[in-house]
Amino acid sequence: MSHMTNPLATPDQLFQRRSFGALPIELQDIIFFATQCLTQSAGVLLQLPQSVTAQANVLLARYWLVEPIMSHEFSSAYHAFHTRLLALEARILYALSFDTHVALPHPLAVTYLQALEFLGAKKERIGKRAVAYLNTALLSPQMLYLTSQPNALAVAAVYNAARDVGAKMPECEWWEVFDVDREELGFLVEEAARAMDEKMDAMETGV
Amino acid sequence: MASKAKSRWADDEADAALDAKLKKEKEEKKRLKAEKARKLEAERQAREAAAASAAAQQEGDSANGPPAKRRRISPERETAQATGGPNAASNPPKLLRFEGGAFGRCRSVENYDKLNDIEEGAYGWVSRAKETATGKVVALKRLKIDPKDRGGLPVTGLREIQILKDCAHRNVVRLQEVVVGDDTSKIENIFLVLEFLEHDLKSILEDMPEPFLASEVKTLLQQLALGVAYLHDNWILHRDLKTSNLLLNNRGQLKIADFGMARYVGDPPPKLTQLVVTLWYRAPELLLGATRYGAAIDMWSVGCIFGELLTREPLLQGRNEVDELTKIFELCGIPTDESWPAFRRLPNARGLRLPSGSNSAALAGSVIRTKFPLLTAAGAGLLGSLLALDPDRRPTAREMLAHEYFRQDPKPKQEAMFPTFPSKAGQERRRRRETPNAPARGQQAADLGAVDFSGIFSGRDREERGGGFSLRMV
Repeated sequence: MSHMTNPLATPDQLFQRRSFGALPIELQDIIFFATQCLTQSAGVLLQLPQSVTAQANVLLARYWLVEPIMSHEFSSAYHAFHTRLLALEARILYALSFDTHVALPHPLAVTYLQALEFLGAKKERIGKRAVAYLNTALLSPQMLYLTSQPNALAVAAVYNAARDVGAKMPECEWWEVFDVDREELGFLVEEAARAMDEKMDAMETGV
Repeated sequence: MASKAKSRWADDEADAALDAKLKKEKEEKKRLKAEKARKLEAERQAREAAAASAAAQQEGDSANGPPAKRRRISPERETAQATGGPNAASNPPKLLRFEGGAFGRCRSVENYDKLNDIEEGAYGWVSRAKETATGKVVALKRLKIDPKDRGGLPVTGLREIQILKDCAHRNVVRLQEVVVGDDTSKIENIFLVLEFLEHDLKSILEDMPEPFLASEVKTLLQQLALGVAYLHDNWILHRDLKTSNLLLNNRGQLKIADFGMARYVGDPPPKLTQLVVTLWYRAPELLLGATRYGAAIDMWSVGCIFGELLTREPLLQGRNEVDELTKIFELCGIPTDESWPAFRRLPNARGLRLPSGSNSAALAGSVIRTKFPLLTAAGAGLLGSLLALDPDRRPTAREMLAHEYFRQDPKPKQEAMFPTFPSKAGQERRRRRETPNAPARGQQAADLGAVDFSGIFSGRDREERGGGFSLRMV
């Protein structure tokens, strides 16, 4: 079961985010987005698998729901920076009770696409698009990975990918097969699409 | 929860301020909830109307704006029910709901009262403690942190936490939680709160005047195999199975502990360090430098533990890597292309000189049967297969459990009927540590170099025709 479930943010945690940082929420969102992008870049530079980097994204997002954003992160010279880094490792683990379990939706999305026989689209094309949605959702300040279980994220990615490549989806409420209801899917589809737009904008303006 | 636990140390003013703040937040939340329900309804209608086209999406955005989405912070279940009313189908769909719990800060170690030290080993410090709120007795294991280590928290400790958090099996020690020292401005004191068991098997074996009965050995071995099977089913290698890492409570239950060497693996196995497992329990393929190995290394250790349960003495007490290999070949026979086809390709096997010629065939046999005369044929068969030189020939933990040894009389003794032992962990006395420790991280793997094993059977030879012992490092 651990591959299907994540600990999710409580409403309290999501709410206190607006109140407990000294920074305005818009700035917090920008820092969040930029930091998640930096994490992704670090993963690329270190040649880490995306599964590792994506888990790091999720853990960072969780951490910032427990401790105010940027409350422990500032420092200057390299040695001090490194010392800070080591302290932060312990700090993050403390804030998350050393629970580093992250179930990613990526494998589920692939499985669901297989179950749907790729909706008649080209495997690579629709698969790539779905994975792109999942990776972009990591950057969303809506913290979709902290509010929805992997199965819902995977279904939303499949839905968005199918729409983008013009694949024909079943006419029935097929998402229910994967235990997602219409409301949740609607929300996730919209937010994931918005995250994709924002990322495209950011890439154009070079953020 | 965290704030409540903390109030013990916080001053009253801060408490009052906190209470006021919480109250305010609560009210704010109530207000938001009502508002959110309204917004959600509006949002849903907007979405329904615009579901098909991309243009509609933009419209939804401008109508509701980002804050509306952001406020969707209550559990989806309620809102789905509340707003799904009018258009829900006559039979609401039955959907599985996956609950993964929540996340949040560690509690403080001050929630526990220390009772006494149990042991202080190479890997940290363990003491018996009582949870103040519940009176429950636990084992507190402190993570050894070297402040000079610029690599961060010890990866072995983190792996132990990660793996134990994922495990839930009656033969694997349970990690209740991780707690930290009271001063959270710097996280330097980290404790694992583990299920407390009265004994470790090593101490019991050292102190018992008579060996375990055959039925008792079976119970212990069966529980060990059940635990190991669970780990292997979940892609976990323990990599340090030995009697001092097997705990026993007064109800005859055995649990595998100390996951400092453990790690997740895949199939095909990744490249791993061969510097694992305490020397006396280390499989021959590790001694010969294999970097791709699997669950069979744990099964070798299980075989060593089996032998130790029978004699109360560690089975293969090598002084170093070469001596350990010597003792293995003396007991199990020398490897041949027949008994272990792949062994010549292992890194350290190239420098190995083994007895050859007419007597090598005779030496290839194992002497397990003769060394354990009191063991039944099935028992000797199982032990021999666990101690097969070729890892591919060792049984898996599941296969071991199906072995007829466990079905033959005497049957495994019921756990509840197990004898009890005076507890050491419950008293002031510390456990002794006489076995060698698991290899340390970053240690250099022993390069066996060219080793001449051609004389290791001189002992056996002498009975027939005599001969010199000539084990040496060239």
